Amino acid sequence: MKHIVFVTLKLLFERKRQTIVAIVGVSIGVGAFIAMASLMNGFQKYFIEQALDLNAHVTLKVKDEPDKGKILKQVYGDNLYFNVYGSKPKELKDKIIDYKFLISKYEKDAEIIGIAPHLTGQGIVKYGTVDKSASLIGIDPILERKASVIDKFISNKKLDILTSDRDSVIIGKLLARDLGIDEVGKKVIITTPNGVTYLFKVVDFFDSGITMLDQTRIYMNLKTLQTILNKPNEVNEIIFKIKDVYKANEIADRINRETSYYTESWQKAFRNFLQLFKIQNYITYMIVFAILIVSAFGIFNIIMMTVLEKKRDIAILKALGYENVDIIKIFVFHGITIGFLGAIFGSFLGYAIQEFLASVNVSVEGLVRTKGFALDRSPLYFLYGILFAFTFSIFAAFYPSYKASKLNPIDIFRSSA
Amino acid sequence: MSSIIQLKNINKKIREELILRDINLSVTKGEFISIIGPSGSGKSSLLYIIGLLDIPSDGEVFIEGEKVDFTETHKIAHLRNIKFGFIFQFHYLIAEFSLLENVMVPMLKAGRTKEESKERAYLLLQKLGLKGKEKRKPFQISGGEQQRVAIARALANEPIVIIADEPTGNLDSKNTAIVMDIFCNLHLEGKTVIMVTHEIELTERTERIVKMLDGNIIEDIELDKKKC
Repeated sequence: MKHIVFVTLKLLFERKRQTIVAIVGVSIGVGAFIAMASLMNGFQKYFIEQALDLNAHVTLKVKDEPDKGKILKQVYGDNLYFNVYGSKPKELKDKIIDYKFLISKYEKDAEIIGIAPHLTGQGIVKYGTVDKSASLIGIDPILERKASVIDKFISNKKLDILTSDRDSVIIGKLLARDLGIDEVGKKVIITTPNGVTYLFKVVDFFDSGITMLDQTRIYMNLKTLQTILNKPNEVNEIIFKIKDVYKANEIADRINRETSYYTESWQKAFRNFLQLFKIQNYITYMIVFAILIVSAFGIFNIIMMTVLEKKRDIAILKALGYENVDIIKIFVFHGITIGFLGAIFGSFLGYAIQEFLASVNVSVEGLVRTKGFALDRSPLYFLYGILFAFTFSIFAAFYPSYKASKLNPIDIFRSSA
Repeated sequence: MSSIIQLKNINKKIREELILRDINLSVTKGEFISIIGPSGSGKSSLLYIIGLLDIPSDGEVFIEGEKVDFTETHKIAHLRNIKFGFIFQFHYLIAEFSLLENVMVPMLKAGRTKEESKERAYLLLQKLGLKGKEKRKPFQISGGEQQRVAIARALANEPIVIIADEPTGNLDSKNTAIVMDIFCNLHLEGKTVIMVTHEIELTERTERIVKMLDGNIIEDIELDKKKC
């Protein structure tokens, strides 16, 4: 093997310019892969983490699942073939009346960490002359803490005031900005769908980083909201925090079977975004794949050029006893070395891009709000980048190497004479 | 003396054209043979078959009494590496390698260590009058010196036969004389040298002349052995 390493390394390092060009090509591919993967996945992970923290892992709601044949199935059994035309929608009451029983029942469940009731409704919030529509959420601060990480998003950590001061509210940071409120203690008027107005004091801000939530949410005491919406002892949502977030679908189905209420896992609630992320990932990986393919073509070209330029040397190596397999090994090793060095430099480049992106203090406001880029700096991306570079290099080097091994030294000697 | 190379009824066809016809040749150890003939007579083709670089269309080749099986590519490559030393009209030195590294290439393939190969390469270059130039690249030395490096490379694995295809074809008279002196010395040391040439005067220093015409050996002349 030492004769292979010797010849390869000599050819590589004595043909510096070509080698550097090939290594730079691979480095750019690997660096771009690492940077793009950490940027895209960082954004997605950030969004999912925030969404998971803010929106229950499983939500129990009042919502009828359309099963038009439910009664027919109950009467005639599941094997019935039927079609229902013109069914009349069932009239539903938007409330969960047995919520205290449900909470006490699922509190004992080993897979559930916390449960909290919600009453949600719409309202108009007014400060001065500015009014905005808002999503009112009535919570029990003690239970809410167990079922979510709401504290994390309360700017001044004054969630407990909702318990002691029933006329206090915590409003979304962006909603506050839109209303012109820049400090706590301001009074806002909230108008309910019944047309009744109430005066509340803003005691804190809710700052999740997710624009659509920060622009609409107002948290208040559950009992207060029940009173102003005239829904005593009613809730319309129960949220569950579970041990393993990836079991949310399974647990949501179980609760649905046990309670007959509509349940929704976080994956279901965010399916549009998850689907969008999937498409985004496809696009990202296609771009990176294209970059790596271009780098692979770079390696292919350079090795092919080397083979063409080194025909005589290949012929003499064969005359000196080098076998076809040795020639293949020399040029494949050539490609692997370029791939390896490209992967190493590409990893440094990727790390440097990550460092640069992490240092950029830009205010991003869109689907999520962050100060700077949300990066996922998993070492896995480096590993994948290195593996891709290696695989592409081997594939790119193989064909020229095979061609080189098939050169007949006699033809070369005759053509040179 | 027993023959180290024996060719029996060798034919070689290229694109339906017979370029070697029923060649029978026996080479004994220590001989200095020149193969001569006009262009296209088949002398290089014969040399390539002797050196196991090419496969005959018909016939048998024996190396040190053992029949060569041309399907055993690994064994053929190994024989080329350790039993033969090749020198061509053009030196075919690898441009990126130093003179020393060029000489080391066949030794590393033979399994010698890098240190061992380097040490022997130094010795060979020194023997061929290239001391002090070992680290130079081929383009930094003259044509005669380049051919001497090629000879050093051919001697690297102490082959039993030196195969030279027009080794002086690209050299001036001074360097031709130097190269011929080297061959003579090798011959006197007991090496077998088979050289293809079209320079008649060079054949005078060999001890056997094989004349070829249209793919046939037309004459095989034994000369005075003391001419070298």
